[in-house]
Amino acid sequence: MNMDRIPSETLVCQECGRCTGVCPVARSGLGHSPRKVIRSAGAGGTRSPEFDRALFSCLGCDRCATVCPAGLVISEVIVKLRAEVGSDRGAGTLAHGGLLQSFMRMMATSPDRQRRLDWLDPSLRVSTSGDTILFVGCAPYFDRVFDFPGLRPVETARNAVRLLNRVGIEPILLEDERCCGHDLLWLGDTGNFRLLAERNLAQIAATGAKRLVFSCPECLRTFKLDYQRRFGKSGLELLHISELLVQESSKLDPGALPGRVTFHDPCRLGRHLGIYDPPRELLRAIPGVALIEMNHSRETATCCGGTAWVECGTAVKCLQSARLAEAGATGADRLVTACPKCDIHLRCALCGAGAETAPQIINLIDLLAESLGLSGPGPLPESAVLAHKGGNQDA
Amino acid sequence: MSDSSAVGSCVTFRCKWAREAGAELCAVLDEVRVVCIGRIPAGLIMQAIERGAGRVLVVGCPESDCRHHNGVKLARAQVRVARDLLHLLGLDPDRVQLVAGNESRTARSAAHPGE
Repeated sequence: MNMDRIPSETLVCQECGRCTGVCPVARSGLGHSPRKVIRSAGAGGTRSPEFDRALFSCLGCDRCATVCPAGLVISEVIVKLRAEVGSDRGAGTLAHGGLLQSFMRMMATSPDRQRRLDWLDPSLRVSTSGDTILFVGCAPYFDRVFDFPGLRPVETARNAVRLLNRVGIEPILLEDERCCGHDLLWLGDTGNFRLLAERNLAQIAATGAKRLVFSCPECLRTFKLDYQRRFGKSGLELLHISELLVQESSKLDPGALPGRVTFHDPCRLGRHLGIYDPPRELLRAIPGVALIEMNHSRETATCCGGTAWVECGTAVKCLQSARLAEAGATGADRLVTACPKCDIHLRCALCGAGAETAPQIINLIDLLAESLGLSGPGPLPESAVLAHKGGNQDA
Repeated sequence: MSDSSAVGSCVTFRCKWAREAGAELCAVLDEVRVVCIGRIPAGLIMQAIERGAGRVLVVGCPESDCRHHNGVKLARAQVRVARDLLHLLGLDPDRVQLVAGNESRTARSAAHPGE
């Protein structure tokens, strides 16, 4: 046994099994067990296909971290182990044919300037200088990859700008913003993660901004925890858009939007960063909205099931269906989330069986924009990206 | 259109029923023959570009002559996603093309004349 390979954190494990008791992947009955992962890692047994599969089945939702009596954050051990395994033998089974990781790696290494802001339109007020940057995330890419009914990630990005404009902020958008690197880091690709982080931090420093606002909780987590651990404190104020809008709520004045809603806490926003109340405060501020909590909410919220686009299988589909059923059982008309990935994954599950009883899924940003009359249900403007589709591809 | 990585060989994913089409488009070919191009996901196309392919051609039969009925239609959707992503990445989307061949040249047409 090579003691150097044993993550020291695993030595605190008391093998009580509470982690496995609450793990949403273990609940599917397919034999996954975080306790066994930690026990194997603690014994230096990190060299088997079974171990790899278990390692990449973890969603990193941190539900286990809320019950561990030893205070062990298993997901952090898992990320370390993935970095070791990934570099040797490749990652787990990637969803969507590895498409998402591929464009993320290309963003890390490509010298070419992106065309990621085609979705901006003249009604959106943005600036090239100022105090506040809006970090858009991978929404323009997700918009081209996913085609679920009602899903328009760039429209959510437009609504984020509209909401900031409403509270008097003209944000800076980085023209060549890169992926934050969350997914590559969580798959163990620390090399490309570092490249992405360095490119983002250099661009942000060049603007001289003091505040960074995120519409994606994964980007916020990555900047707030992972960048700071690896590159030191940036001195920037890092906020989720819901936190900023709560601070500026006196300028919002939302219109009535009668209906019952339930809120799905994204893991990265809730358990990872402890941001539970700002989205709820915004929902309660909308006249006519009745917020009904699901049985599993806040610290006990269930994950949407797709952390880094890996190992999307039976276990994930089971927990997504259970989450939709839970949302439906509240009697809510709408299931509100604050994460573009939860939005995508739950809509994907909605395409399956049992969808008829589930509420409509909507991003918090889109719901707020709707209540403020900033986005209508009319036809969405076609983005400039579509222009090149008109060409004859059949040669 | 500036594209710093648009060099290197051309990779083709070619339907086993498609004849000739595509061969005249690239001097250097790295050909992968597949049973159905409808099963080539955008992720595979992007990984070919990522690993150094200058161009990627997805070569099939005319849509009306697809042996698997909707293989070309499925491939077109995946090619479209890959082209969109290349555009966003600042690369030339024309590096990925769907080549749906001439009807008279396909194996199916030859095997079933007049169909």
